[in-house]
This record gives sequence, structure tokens and C-alpha cells, in this order.
Amino acid sequence: MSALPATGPATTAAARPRAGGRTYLLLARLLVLAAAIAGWQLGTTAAGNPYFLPPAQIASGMYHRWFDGPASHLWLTADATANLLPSLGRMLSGWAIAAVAGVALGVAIGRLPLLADLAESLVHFGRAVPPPALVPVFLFVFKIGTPMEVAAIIFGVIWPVLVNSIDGARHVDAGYTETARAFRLPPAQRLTRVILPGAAPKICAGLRLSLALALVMMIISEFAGSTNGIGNEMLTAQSTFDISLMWQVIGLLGVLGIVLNALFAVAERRVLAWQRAPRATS
Amino acid sequence: MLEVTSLTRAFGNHLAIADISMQVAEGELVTIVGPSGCGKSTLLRCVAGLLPPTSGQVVLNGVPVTRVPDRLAVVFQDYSRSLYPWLSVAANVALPLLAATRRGSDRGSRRGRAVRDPAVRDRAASQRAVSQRAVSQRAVSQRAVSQRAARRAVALAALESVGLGGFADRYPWQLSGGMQQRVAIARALACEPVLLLMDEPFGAVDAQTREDLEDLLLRVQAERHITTLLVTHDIDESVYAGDRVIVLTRGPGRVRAEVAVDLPAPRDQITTKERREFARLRAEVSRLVRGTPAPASAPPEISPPEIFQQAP
Repeated sequence: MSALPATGPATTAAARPRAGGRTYLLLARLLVLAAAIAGWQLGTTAAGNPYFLPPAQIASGMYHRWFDGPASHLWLTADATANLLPSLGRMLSGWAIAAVAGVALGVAIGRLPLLADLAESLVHFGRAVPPPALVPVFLFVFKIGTPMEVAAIIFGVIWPVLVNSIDGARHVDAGYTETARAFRLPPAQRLTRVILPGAAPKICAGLRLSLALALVMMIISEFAGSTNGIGNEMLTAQSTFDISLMWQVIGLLGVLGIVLNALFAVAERRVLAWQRAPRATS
Repeated sequence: MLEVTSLTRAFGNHLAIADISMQVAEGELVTIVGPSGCGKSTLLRCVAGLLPPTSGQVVLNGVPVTRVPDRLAVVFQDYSRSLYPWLSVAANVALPLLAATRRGSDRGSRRGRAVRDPAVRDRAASQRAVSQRAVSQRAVSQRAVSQRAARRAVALAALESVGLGGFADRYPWQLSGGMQQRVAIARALACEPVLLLMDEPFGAVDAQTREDLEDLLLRVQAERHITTLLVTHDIDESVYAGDRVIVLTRGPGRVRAEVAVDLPAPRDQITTKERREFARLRAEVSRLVRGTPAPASAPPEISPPEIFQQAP
């Protein structure tokens, strides 16, 4: 996931090569990826070990299990609608709730010194607890099912958003806030046109971290207890020694991570277009 | 119209400005000049109501300033931190109108005053009619749309007046520094201020651009007669732009002297600065800023007959 072309460190604004250089870089990356997959394919085929399957076999298994459905269902199979969609739904709703709550709380804490004094130690305690450790607590409170899983995801992923929103809102440039004051911007406009955009770079960094974490929390919460979902399929694979299914789930999680990250990067680029622009100072 | 009485501001034990008193008349352009660290910006922030004074007071049109007064506009030195990079040029200029229209929405008279363009005024009048007639959700959203259009029209007119008519939909960071400061001036003009405060507004641009911006300010000032307080460390600028120059001492800033500038209008970067009178005023202000005494031969005060005397 970290080698994703759209978000890899080599394409950050400072080190971006010329257009021609970029094409070569992209080709080189694809080449490395292709070589790795080819090596994996050749190695596993040669070894013939039943626990390590060749990637082509995994990919075709994934295709037939989840993406071989009728066009009317967007090519999703019954297995996909029964497991993939519920997992994604829980993950995205948990992430969305955590995002809204985290930004709202974070901006409030970041801009109100009194609230910061009261809440900050609580925030540091909350983020210090490893989120998976709380899954048993949610299991206890909600029993097995969607509410438990969503709650675990929310609680697991809210911390990066919260901490980054606090930081971003607190450190909005004093020039921006003083200008807002000088022009008597009403509080609502000050929030939506100055504080939130000013804190947006940090907020986006938090959201991106928590999106990756949401995938982790989705799987962990489903491992802990679920009646459907990708994690549940993984549990099935484990109990029935279905090695092929296990590899397919791993592959699917990898693809999901890449796709989600890429979609987020596209959205972030749009929202933060002003930030990547060169600062003309004279 | 602006009266500053014994204004003092301390930061902890450090006294930034001490016992500053001054008066600015309606439509006057007063420049404040002083060595760096003399508390010029502190003075301006106190006058703007952005910073509460430690003692003394600021009175604007008979009302003591305790918070940022209505119809005040500020142009800051650092345009890159006062224009919002996430808003287009037009949206930046329209931003203070948001405050004006919000407050004006329940008091019709204010909105009318904030709009000069007749077409915009008609639209504002029709908005008011709509707001009186209906309270349905639809009417409210229609009003919001037409208010936005009205704000944009005012912003475009303000941009036109600073020579940036074609740049409304650009972003500040796509413009040069001088153009960005023009945007900041347009934003200040858009809210039709009664008092315009400028904090070293041309300090961050190159010399040529600086002259252009000074002339822009003088032109706008001649057209609209906005009472203006301009803080600068540039002695030439203080004399060239000001009707009156107030010289502050090194920190803590106190008023060392006031120098009336009787250079004729319209002023011109070349011919005005060619005048003997300009050179004399510049020298006088320079000495006051540095605190060096005038040589015995130099005239200590402005002598009126010399004022209209052209340089050879």
C-alpha cells in the first residue's frame, strides 16, 4: 500500500520530476510490481506447496467468488453482496461517523482553551489505548452484530482525526484569524471559511490515517464476532482449512486498501488544491 | 472623527506605546512613521479594536472603541496571511460583506448603505421585498442566492476600481505580490469603510510596485475621501502619501512631532518628489525619526510661501 504510485513519497510537490521523468518513474514502478508478481508466480508454481498459492490462481479465485455476478448487480456475486458489502458499509459508516465527530470535537478543543484544558488528558489517554483491546468491551455491550462492529471501528479510528483536528484548528495562522476579526466575520462564517479550511491539511492527514485504520478495525471486529463480512469469511477459511479462500481474502483486503487510499487521495487533492500551489511572495 | 487619547499599551513589563494622543479629521490621510520597534503596529491594532489598550482610549465618531467597529477596514502588510488561499479573489473581496449583510438583514438601512452600484441596490431592494413578503423555505433560499449575487457584484466593482477586473475567479496565489495587495485594498474598499487602517501595506513589494500602489491609494482617497491611517517605516512614503505625518519615537512609541504636508494634489511620483518642498519635508521627517537635531540653517517650520514653488 505504501508503494502506491498516486501517493508515494516520490510524487510530493517538492521532489516531483519533470513530465518525461514522471512517465519513466511510473514505468519503472510498474516493472518492479510486475517482476515481484512474476517471481511470486514462478516461485509458488515451482515449489508446489499447497499452502502457498500462485497469484494467478488467487486472482481468478477472487474474481469467481466476488466479481463474476450479473451486470444488473454491478457484477457482484451473491457472496459479495452477502459479505463484501456489509463489511464495506460498516467500515465506511464507522469511518464517516468518526470523521464528523472527530473533526467537530477536535476543532472545538483546538479553538477553546478552556475545553482543551479539560479534555486534553482524556484525549491522550483514549488514543494511547490500542483500539483492538476495546473490542471485547464492545462485544460485551452490544453483543455480536453490526452495532458492535461499527462502534469498534468508530472508537478505533476517531483518534487520528481528533488529534490532528485539535492540532490543525489550534495552529491556524494568526494572520488568517486576525483578518477574520478585523472584518467582523460572524462566528459561523469564521468557522466555515477560515478555521476549517485553515485546519484542512491536518484534518486530511488525520482522515487518511484513520481510513487505513478503519480497514484494520473492520477485520478485527469481524474476527471477534460476526455473522457475515470479509472477516467472517476469513474465519470460515480458518476453520475449514480453505487455504484458497484465505489468500483470496488477503488479496481482497490489499486491493481495498489501495482503492480506498487512491479515492481519498483524489478527494484530498481537490480539497487542498490551494495548498500545493506555489507561494508567490513577491 | 477619530480621537486617540493617552493611549498606552504594555505587553507584560514591556511598554510598546506610551501616552499617544492624536486626532484625525474626516477624509484625512494621516501617515504614522517611526523607527522599527516603535509600536506602530500595536497602535494600529488598538485603534482597530483588535487589541485592548492598557490605558487611554480610542473614540471613533463619538463612540469609544471597545471591539472592532462596524465599517472599519484593515489592509495588513502580509497579504499572503491575510488573503485566504482557499478562496477565489472575488470570494476574498466579498468576505467582509458577509458580515455587513448578516448584520444588515434585520436592519434594512445598513444594507442599502453598503451598496453603491445602482443595479446592485435595486437587487438589494427586491431582496428586501422578498424577505418581507414570504417566510417559506424557498424564499429564504432565493434570498440567499440573490444576496450572494449582490455580494459578488460589489466585489467585482471593487476589483474593477483597483484595476483587477479580469482576475475575480483566480486565486490569490496565482497573482503577483503587488496584485495580491491590490486585492486586499479592494476587499477594504468593498465594505465602504468610514475608517481605513493600513499596516505597512506596501512594505513587502518591490519599489516600482510600491509607487503604483501608493498612487492607487491616493487616487482612491481622492475619489472616496475615506479617512485613512497609514503606518509605514518608509519616510518618502509617509510624506508622499500623507496629508499629515505623525512621527513616533523609538520604543516605547510616543508622538515626537506632527508635520503637516502641504504638497499640492494630485501628487505625482516624479514631479511631486522633484519639489524642493518635498525634499525639505523628507529631511525634516528623517531627522525627527532619527532624533538628530536640525542644522541651524534649515527652516525649523514649514514656510507657506515656499509650498507652491517649483523645483528648478
